Amino acid sequence: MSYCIASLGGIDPWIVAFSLITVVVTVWMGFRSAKTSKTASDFFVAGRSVSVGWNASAISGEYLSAASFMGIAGMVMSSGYDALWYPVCYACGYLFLLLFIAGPLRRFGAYTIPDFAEGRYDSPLFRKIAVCFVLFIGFFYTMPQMKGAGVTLAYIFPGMPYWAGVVLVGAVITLNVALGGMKGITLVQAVQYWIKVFAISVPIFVLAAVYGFYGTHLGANVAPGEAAAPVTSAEVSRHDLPEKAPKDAPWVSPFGPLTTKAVNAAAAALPAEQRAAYLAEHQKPYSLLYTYSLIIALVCGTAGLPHILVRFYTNPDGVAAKRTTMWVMILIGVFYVFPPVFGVIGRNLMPELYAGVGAEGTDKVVLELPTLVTQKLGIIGSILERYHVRGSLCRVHEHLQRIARLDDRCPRARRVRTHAAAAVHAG
Amino acid sequence: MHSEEFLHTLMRRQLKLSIACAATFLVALLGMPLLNYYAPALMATRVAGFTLSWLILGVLFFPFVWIISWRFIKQSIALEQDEVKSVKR
Repeated sequence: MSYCIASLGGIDPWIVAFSLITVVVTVWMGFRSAKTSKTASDFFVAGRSVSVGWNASAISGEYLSAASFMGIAGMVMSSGYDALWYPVCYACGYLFLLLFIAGPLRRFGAYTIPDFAEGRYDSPLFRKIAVCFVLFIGFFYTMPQMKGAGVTLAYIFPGMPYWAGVVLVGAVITLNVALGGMKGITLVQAVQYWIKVFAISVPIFVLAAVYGFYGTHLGANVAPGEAAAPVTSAEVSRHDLPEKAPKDAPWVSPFGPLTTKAVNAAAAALPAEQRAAYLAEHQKPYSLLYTYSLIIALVCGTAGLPHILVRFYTNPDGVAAKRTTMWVMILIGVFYVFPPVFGVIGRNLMPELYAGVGAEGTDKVVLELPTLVTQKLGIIGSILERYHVRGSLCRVHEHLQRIARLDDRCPRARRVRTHAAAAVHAG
Repeated sequence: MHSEEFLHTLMRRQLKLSIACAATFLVALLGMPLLNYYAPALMATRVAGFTLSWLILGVLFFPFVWIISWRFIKQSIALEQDEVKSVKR
């Protein structure tokens, strides 16, 4: 493929093709849905007629972000066991939603969460408070997604400035949302789930066939209390770890680098003689506390996401809402088994990533690991890698969609949006 | 429409079901760190290359959550149908 790359001035033709297809399809789906979105009900809640299969795929596709795709893999690679709480608690957050929120919320029958807040508690003040929270969450959600958009596009298209990526993806998504509302988005995101799940799993299966599977790679790390690892380094072609990398024992066990960060920092602030005693006494208990705090934050945070909650309104009734939630848990659960595998294999096969920082470090493992397959399998590896990168792009797209939709909560934005939709119908 | 009493009973039974399911998964979720804390050697035993702890959290927890949700849905739909039948009587 190198001659192609050279001829296009460094831009990979496969990625250009995939990206163009993504953009065109997204915009086309927006236009298509604009034709069928006639009422406010259509626009905000897809006419309350989205089937369980489509809705579950759409919610799952929406939920799985760059954080899920790349971030979890990177975190497992850098922090080991502790990072596993993230995917598990995301899934448990949905269980929480299913048990207590999905059915009753759908049966109440409003359009948005602030609508529900006002109606259920008969309080316009509560509505205003809910709007503030939704905008607050939306704002902090948007910032990293915009950054992700800029960084991803700058990675894929060398030479493209960061701001251009942000503007381009933002424009495509705004167009899609303004035109199609919830219907347009549902279709796009349902398709994107399936793209993502294949993008995360297929490279793993190929890598596993060549280099060994999940358990084998984990087996190459020495757990505390073991004299030697059950799997030898030679069996999995394990490379040497650089200085910066966490050692095997804390990495593979609970209460490792992630949950002990705070207490280690506190110990570092003490004079040297007191550190060992302080750590012996406080490290594990504080790390247990950190773990619980992480669990609570992740479970409650997942259950409270306004753009997920509003999706329940797109189901025809309460039973459908519950079934959708169950399927969402299955779909995202299946997805979430795979990013940690990237982290584990990456630790063994690409430990040089530990030396990098942030986007150049372990966060890149999902993008970089398939390149190993390219070396061994030539063109198959190339295609795999491109498809995989496109999976990353998908996430950036749908993030911005989600944020654009959150603006619907603001009454002024809603009027603007409705006028835009009306203008499209009239024009 | 249904009477207040009917709705009240139905809601109470649904809530009890929800709480029972939630208790199951909370015991598992919140119990894992305790298990890791008090029984580190047990949790480090190897199972097919995985440590037991990693296998549970990274793989087995997901099917566990699916089973709870499937049972909850079955039972909550059965509850609704039950109540409707008892009202019709």
